[in-house]
Amino acid sequence: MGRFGKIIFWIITLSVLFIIVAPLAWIYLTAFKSPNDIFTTDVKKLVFFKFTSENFQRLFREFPFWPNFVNTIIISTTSTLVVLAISALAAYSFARWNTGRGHLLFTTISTRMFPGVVAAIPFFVLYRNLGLLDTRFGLTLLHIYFNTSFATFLLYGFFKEIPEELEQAAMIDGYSRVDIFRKIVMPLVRPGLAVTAVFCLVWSWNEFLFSFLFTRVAARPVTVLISSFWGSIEVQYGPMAAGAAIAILPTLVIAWFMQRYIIRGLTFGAVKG
Amino acid sequence: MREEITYGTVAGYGLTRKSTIWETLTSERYFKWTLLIPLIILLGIFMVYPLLYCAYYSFHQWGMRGDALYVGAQNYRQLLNDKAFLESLYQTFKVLIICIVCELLIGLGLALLWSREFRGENVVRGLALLPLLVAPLILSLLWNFMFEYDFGAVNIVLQSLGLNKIYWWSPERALYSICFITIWQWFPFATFVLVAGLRSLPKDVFEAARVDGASPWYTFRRLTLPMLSPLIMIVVVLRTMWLIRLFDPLYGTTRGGVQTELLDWMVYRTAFIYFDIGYGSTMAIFSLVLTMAICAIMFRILMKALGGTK
Amino acid sequence: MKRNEIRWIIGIAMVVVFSFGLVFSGFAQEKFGLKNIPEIKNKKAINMMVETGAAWDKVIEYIKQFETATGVKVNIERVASPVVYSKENVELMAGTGYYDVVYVETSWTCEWSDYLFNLEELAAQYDPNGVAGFQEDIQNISPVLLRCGQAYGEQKVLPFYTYHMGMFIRQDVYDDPTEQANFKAKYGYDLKPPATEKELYDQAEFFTRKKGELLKGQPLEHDLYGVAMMAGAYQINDEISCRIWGKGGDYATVVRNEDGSLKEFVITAKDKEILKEALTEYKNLLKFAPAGCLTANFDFACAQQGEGYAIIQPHQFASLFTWTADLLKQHVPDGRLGVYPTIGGQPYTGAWSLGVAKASKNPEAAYWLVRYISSYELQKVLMKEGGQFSARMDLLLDPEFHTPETEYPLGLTCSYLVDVWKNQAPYVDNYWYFNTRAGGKVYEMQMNALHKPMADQVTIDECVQEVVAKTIELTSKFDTVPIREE
Repeated sequence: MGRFGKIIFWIITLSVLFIIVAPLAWIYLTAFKSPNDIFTTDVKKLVFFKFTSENFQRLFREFPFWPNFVNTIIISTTSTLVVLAISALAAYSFARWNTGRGHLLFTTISTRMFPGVVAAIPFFVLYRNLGLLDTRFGLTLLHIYFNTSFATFLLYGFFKEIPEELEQAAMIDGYSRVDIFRKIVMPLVRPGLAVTAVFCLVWSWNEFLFSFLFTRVAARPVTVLISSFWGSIEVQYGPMAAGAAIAILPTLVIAWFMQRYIIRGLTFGAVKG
Repeated sequence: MREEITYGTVAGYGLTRKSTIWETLTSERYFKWTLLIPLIILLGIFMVYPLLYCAYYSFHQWGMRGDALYVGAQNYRQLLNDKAFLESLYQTFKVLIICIVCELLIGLGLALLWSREFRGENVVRGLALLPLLVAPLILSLLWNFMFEYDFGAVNIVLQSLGLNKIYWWSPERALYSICFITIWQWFPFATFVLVAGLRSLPKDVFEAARVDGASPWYTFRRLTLPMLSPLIMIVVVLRTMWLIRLFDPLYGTTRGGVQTELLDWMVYRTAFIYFDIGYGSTMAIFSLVLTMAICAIMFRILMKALGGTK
Repeated sequence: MKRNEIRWIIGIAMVVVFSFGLVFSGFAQEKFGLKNIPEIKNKKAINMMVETGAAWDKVIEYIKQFETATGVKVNIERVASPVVYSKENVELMAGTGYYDVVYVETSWTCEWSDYLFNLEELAAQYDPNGVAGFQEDIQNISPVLLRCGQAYGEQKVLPFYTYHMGMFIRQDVYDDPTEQANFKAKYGYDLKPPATEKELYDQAEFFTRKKGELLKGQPLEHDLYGVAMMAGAYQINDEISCRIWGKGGDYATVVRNEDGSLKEFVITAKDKEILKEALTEYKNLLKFAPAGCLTANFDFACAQQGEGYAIIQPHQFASLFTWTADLLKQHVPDGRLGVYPTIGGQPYTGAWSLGVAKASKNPEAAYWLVRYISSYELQKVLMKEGGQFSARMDLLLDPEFHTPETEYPLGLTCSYLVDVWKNQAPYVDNYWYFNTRAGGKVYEMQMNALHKPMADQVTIDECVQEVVAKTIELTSKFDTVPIREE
């Protein structure tokens, strides 16, 4: 790559990065703008404006931001842990023995092929009868349900990577199936678990539709709060951006530190490296 | 782990003991099924129930009040003749093809660009992951404003450069704006899969080709692409599955207006705005079958491709 | 008579008159307010859902006073406006009884009538002044909006704020002698706010000019358009409603039995003809509107007029008058707006309103909260701080809004609303939206269907056919009153 090639390389790369980062930066800039600076046609105001913290103040004072944030944390982490447990067991079964000859695996994955909106109505009726509406427990169950398919698929790829010889050797040594799973296979698949955990956590964190329909006040996560700034006359972009700025921060932080894992997950271990 | 021990006889072999429940479950024969118990319970409650519910109501007419009226296959017949529904299918496929093609092209291009390690790679990678991780709803509301005619950042910048403001949400353009939002969010997915793929390709094959004097284009066409094809298929299958369900970008922007009514939006509208549960269930069952059919075919191709190159 | 006796008589007369005066003045100023709420026996917390917006931001602060005064906690769930219907409907239909106070758009009143209390029932049960006291207070509310909040003769909801429509024009342009002279010379009659469709068309044509041409004697720095309209798939059906009601038509004609109950809905040939006419005229008018109007919602249309690019908004929500006037003041310092009835004098109407759910566990407190929010004192807060327009006529005529400082733009709109309500009141009873359970659903359908011919996706005839067919389909599905096409 000559000099010229390098310049082209960086021009393209930086342009791509700009396209990616600019809208997200807009969120953080808008969070500190007053309404006049948001609804202006002055291009300078995009970047240069008077900082104000009124959006955040309003967010914390008039809306239950922190309780909602706590809800999000509890629901995401709990559902992720449970999903990992269920999916790990199932994925191991599929990977090692091809249980159900691929049909069960396909069925699991196809849960994501059903339009979520329509599943919501029978669930709503069921939840009403069970008193699960507006409870963190209820919403967590739903999140567990819709994350399991992808988690199973991901972990399937990771489990398949583990050589059978290892397990066979252990069996000869007298380990039971359970011990093999617990002591030999699981430790090897830890990076896969990490990746899956990240995805499930992020998707649960960002989930909107079910969170919106199944919670009201008590169990409301923060994504629903952010969407509620959408009015019939005006969208209150200030507090919305402020809420979004805080809400997406954890996912950004995770992304930064877990990059390698995330990318590995994206390639489902189908590619070595 | 030794609980009750009962003794029984098996003809010809003397005394053996009956296994405990735990031992049965973890025995060679049944362990693989035991592992699946939690999953099957989960699926049973959460998947079978709505499926049966919708299947039942798809043969009825019900607006959530009063009794459900049995109408046989009328809903299905109505669906196949429903111009708006067929239109939404057409729009959805349009979006599907545009997005997948663009994501692959951009992904492949960037993957080739980034195929070799470079300085600052960590930063680039970290930043490029961001669109995938931000809540789709937030992005939807965000882009709605960015594309706003008067106050949106995009038009403000265009105007300051002396260009004309573009009406992003016009009937002709709105669908492409939706595609843009989706591609913006998901192109890192294809990119990273293909980068990983490119980096793991065996170097000796390419070395041999170079020595033989093959042109870059030839190398790309005959070597790179075929070796990447399983990954490309993975991307295509997964993205297809997700794009048929595309919903979030619409929610904060056009809400199905200006000719952007996609499949899942139509289902949402029927079920949650009209509360026409009968017809909505019909649409849901239809789109489930459709998605499963498409994905099953693609899945089969994928499995063959994966099996072939492994 | 002796002098002393005369003095006695005069003295007694004065006392009597004075007392009467006291009593009457007391009556005249006695308006229902927070202090009139009696002790609420049921202390269970109540829940309500409200939409996003400055109006509720302000009112919620006063609801806290309600909590302190009555000892009943009010849990408020804030929700994005476009999804209020879905969320509440799911809860109502699933019978969860979660929302005690229900936030209702008037076109949903009939649809949800089964789930809502007749407020007079609650008044009879809980109000020490009974139904009479209730009636005395609400008689000050616009008769039009009260009727919109009734279903099958029962008052189900009380208005919170209204989005009644009107026509906004650039009053300064209409008052300008140069423009008046030019108009008269070209069209042969005086320039005044249009009262017929032809006048509107003429004036829209007259005011559509290119950059460089003159307006009020000054050269224009940009293109000028006669009208700004909301032809996007959002509120276009409200504009069309203004037109068809103004022509004496409707989406379906309401036919009643002798006792006043609903017999059937008929989409008459006249209705279809009027709809076609309205759509054709609307589309013709679009050529005098900026291109962006095809996908515009109210914010765009108002911004066009506020920034000086358009002269007339033939139909716009009156509640946006003050905002547009403020915008205009920033961009065109000597610009002024005027508000008039839409062509035909029957603008689209409705209000966001509040009702009490039958499944509520504390209807007593819910009733009083609804009364409090629709009371004079809280509606005043809504208008002064929340920036929305109340449906109370006594409030709109409050002198505070009609001082020289506040007359433009606020007082002007208030006077307009009171007048148009008085004129429109006789017709509202038969508006189809407010007599059918399918009102909300048909409304949703119309948003898209009526936009399509404007965007040239279908012809006007096809559009009329589609609207008629879908109206019949939806009404058959969701209402018990039979509907047919003539």
